[in-house]
Amino acid sequence: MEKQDFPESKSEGFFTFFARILQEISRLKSNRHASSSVIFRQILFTGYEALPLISFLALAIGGLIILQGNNFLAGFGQGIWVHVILVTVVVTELSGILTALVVIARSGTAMATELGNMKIRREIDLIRSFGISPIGYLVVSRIIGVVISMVVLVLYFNFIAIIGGWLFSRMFSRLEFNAFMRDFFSVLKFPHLLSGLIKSVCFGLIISVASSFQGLKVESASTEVPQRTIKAVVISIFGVILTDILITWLFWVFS
Amino acid sequence: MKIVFDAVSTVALDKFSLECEIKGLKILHDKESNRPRGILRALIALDDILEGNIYVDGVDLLSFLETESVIKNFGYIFDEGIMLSNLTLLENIMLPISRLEHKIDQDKVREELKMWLQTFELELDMNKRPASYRNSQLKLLGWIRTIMLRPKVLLIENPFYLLNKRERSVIVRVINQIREEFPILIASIDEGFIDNISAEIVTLSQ
Repeated sequence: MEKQDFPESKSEGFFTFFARILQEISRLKSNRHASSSVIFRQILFTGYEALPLISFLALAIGGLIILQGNNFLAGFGQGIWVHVILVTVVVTELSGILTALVVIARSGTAMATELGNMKIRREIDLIRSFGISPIGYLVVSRIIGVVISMVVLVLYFNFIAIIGGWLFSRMFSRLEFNAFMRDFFSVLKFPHLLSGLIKSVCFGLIISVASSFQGLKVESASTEVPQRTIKAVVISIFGVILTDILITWLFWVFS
Repeated sequence: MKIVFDAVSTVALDKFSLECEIKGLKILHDKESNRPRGILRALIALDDILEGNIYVDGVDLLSFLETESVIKNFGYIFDEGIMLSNLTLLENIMLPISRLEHKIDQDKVREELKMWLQTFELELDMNKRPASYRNSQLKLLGWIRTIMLRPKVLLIENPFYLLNKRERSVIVRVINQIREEFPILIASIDEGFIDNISAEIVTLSQ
């Protein structure tokens, strides 16, 4: 049993915390500290309960892109480029970023607040008194839950955005769904999907690690909780945008 | 089980052992300072002790805890009735038990829990969250959670905090009951508690 399982003191930095997470993940199979019920609840909250908001956003974004694209491109007889825009803008960029922002707003804040309050109420001490690692039980379980949710939400966002695109395209033409999808898949390539998948995993990781770290950094005063939550949000947004730029750049360089 | 405190400002603590227990009960006490609380916390690796080492059965405490289950050996009762607020009361009880046993016999646990709830004169809906109940009720449930694990050493921060006279007498009755049932070493920091139940007091001294 390790004596310090989480950022107890101010001197304990992010990298020590992250190293402990990696250590817990590396022995996940034999690790009974990670809890399937915590993972399940996290997926329920981060994934399932976010579906209505994601649906609304995706439908609106997909529709608006087709609407604007059609307005602009149909005049030049370049309707097929609307699908290119749908793929490059929605599948590779917007779905990941917008889903990440929703997850930060809903789950990142909730995680930082919940862990901060648990620290104040000494619930972390209670967990440790059972010989359970708070990193394994609270943090790793949440990371797994958020990453799974992010991947599923991004795929769902793409699917709904495409449906939204088709529904809006019906306003301008009698384009059948099959024909719309044929055009869409003629543009969609494996790297687009791969880039979206990698981004969603990275975003989930960034949001959950940053929020957990800030939550567990709360020491004793309840006034620290909102301050740490704000930090978690700001760091998550920065992390997500910078990672998005980096991954896009890498795909651009190697494609 | 023998716990030795090496150079922790006291000689008396060398005797802190189940091997020389008297009627299964021994109290760690120091009314002059807050040191016992630190030692209690150090025993489950929540805190560092400022000086010296703690050995359990001849093994350094941290090495001991790497190979031995904490909750099999040490049960910790906090001042407040601390429960995990996002779990139901039943899940709170089950969580440490699930760390002890791979397959829990749910019916057996529920049966034992029912018995302890009656002993502690508690009427709780175990499917509710802790926020639905008073801190004193949660504190008594915390006692039950710890006792159900049958630890060898019971570490109690402040046994009577939050409890009224009736609830305090229940605690004393339960302590007397469990020391008849299984050998247990008790460490606490509370003087009133010590006066009521101790067979032997180990006093910390400089």
